[in-house]
Amino acid sequence: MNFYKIIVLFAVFGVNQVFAQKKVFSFSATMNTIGVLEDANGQPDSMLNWTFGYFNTEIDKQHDVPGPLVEVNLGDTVVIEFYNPSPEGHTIHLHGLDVDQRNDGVPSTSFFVLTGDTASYEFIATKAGTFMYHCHVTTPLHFQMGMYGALIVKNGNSTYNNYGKFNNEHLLFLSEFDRRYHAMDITGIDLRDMRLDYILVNGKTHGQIYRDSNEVLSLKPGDTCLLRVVNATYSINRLTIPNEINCKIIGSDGRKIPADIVTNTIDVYPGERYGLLLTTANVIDSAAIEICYLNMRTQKGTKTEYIPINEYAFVAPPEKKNIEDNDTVKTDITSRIGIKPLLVYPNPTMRFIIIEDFEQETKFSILDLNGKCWLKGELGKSKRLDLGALPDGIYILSTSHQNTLILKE
Amino acid sequence: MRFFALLLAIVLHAELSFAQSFFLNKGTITEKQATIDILRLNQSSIFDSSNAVISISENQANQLIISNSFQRNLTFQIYKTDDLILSELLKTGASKTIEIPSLTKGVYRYQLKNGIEAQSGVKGLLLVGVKVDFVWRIKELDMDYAKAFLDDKLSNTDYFPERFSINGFIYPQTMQDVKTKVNCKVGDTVDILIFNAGYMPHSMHVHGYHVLITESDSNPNQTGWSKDTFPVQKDRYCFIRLIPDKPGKYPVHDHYMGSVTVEGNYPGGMITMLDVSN
Ligand SMILES: [Cu+2]
Ligand SMILES: [Cu+2]
Repeated sequence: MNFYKIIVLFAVFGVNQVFAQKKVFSFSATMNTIGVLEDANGQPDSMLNWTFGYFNTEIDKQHDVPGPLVEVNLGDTVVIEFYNPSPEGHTIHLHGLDVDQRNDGVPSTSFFVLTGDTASYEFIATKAGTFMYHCHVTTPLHFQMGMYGALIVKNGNSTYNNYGKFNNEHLLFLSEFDRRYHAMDITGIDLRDMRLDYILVNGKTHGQIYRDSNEVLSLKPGDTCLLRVVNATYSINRLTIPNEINCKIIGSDGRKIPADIVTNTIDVYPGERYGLLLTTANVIDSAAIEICYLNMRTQKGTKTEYIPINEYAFVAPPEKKNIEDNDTVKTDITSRIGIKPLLVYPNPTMRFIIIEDFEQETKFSILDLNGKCWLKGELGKSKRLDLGALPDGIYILSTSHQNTLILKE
Repeated sequence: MRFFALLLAIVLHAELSFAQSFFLNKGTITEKQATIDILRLNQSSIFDSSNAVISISENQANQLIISNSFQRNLTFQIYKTDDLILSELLKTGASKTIEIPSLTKGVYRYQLKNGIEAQSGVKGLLLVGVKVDFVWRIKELDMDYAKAFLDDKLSNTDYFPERFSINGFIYPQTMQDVKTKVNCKVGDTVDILIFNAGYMPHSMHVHGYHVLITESDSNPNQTGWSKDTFPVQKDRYCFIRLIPDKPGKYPVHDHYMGSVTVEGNYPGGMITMLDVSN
């Protein structure tokens, strides 16, 4: 880079600009990552997830939902190398980064990254702000399975060219799981039908949020906190900021908005991002940001999650009941395709599986691959089985009308 | 010369004041082997699954003649956002001449009365003196709602639409329609009106570019914002301005992923494309 270009960079990006660099990230995809969420009763619930993660021998095992945070500086040349060892094709769509067609990650207009392929996505980070990346292959499915992550372009401690200085920042990467998708067998699932079982905040649920000091938002008098919100969900995310906090919307979708808006309620729609500046005159010792997910079809609230402020051991209020019974959503997907499969989840599992039988009472047995029977009994509408006594391995759940493979890990 | 100009003006004016005819037509659509009759407002007596865009001139009275061939009386209404402009009974088997008062320039909508009739999905744009490069009418269809309308009752199920469309087209059909797929050049200024004729909001995502929201009765706060994803509320509209800075083919779609399916499969539904050449 010659002297003049440096001058131009300073002129364009302002004094906060650290020297633009080339930043290379090496990613890979998985389709067999087990994630453990905490359910409303504080119990672990394991999920089969598809993920992005670093392709790097030491930290390869850290594949998780969401994928790694991509954090770069304004002006950086960003390269995401992507190796796909998983059994299906994937892509990386750089959502909101206005990249050229080749790097857009849409299989039909860009390219597919098939099993065993390596590809590379490249762009220059010309705007500071909050973005995301996600797989754009059979998007409703791959997105539901967890193939997404946040991408942040920083401009020092300013949000947009010398505007909106902050001394502290916090990311809320909001996503959601329909647990039926996170089982081993998703045959017959209708991709229109997404139900909300878990609100994920930076990939965590319930107590995983309240007990993790990284997830507690820190805000003291004198602080200016930049709260970045990403909606990677199928819902409207309604944020309610406590009244003792002054909250200003300063940007959205990686752009400054023309005039700041002071408000304590913000609706973020699927795919949108918001930048909020939080300040307070008071010492806050017991408060939380409330995040309510509203169903897009009904615009009614479904589930609520909390982000504790300044408080390590936060206790969430009991789950709001009866706002909308999630199960009243039409459940006739199976009748639409003429069969009524059992729902078996989580699968793979570490210990418990839940079997839901839509049809009727039926006998079941769990066999290993040598045909030895380990468990048998009757199934009702729902049954929770403890596989704790079984050695790790593959089993067959056999009923009168269906055989399902179960992986115990 | 002046006389002829005046005469021409009178003739043109007379023509503009001519009544426009529309037809409430019943037709059959199919999804997953299930078929259902739906009602639509069309410009001819031949059924078309998308509702007509009615375009009239500003600041002058207009007439609409609407024929109702449906088996029940229906109530045709015109709204500006939440304000009811007029409400007229359309008797079954009859044609009705509706006098539309002089309206100021802007985007209005017509629909059948809220409640049982609105479940028919008869809802569309009434443009008064509006000129724009592209119009995208985004819409969904829940067959249970359409059925409830036929049965003259309110649906008792949660809204769960099967079909998602832009201008009546379901992707990849959207790619074949020159008014739905945007063909333009780098540096062009392309103004697009997006109207939500459905019953749920949609969160439209533009690949490749940020667009300027030049006007929005959907989310007035967002007027003047530069966005890559923005909601369009039901019954509401926004105008976006695209000035492409590079060539390429870029999808535009709802980021609520239920909408980018057809018969439960991806891709389909509410997806169109920007095709920008040098
Ligand atoms: Cu994928
Ligand atoms: Cu996206």
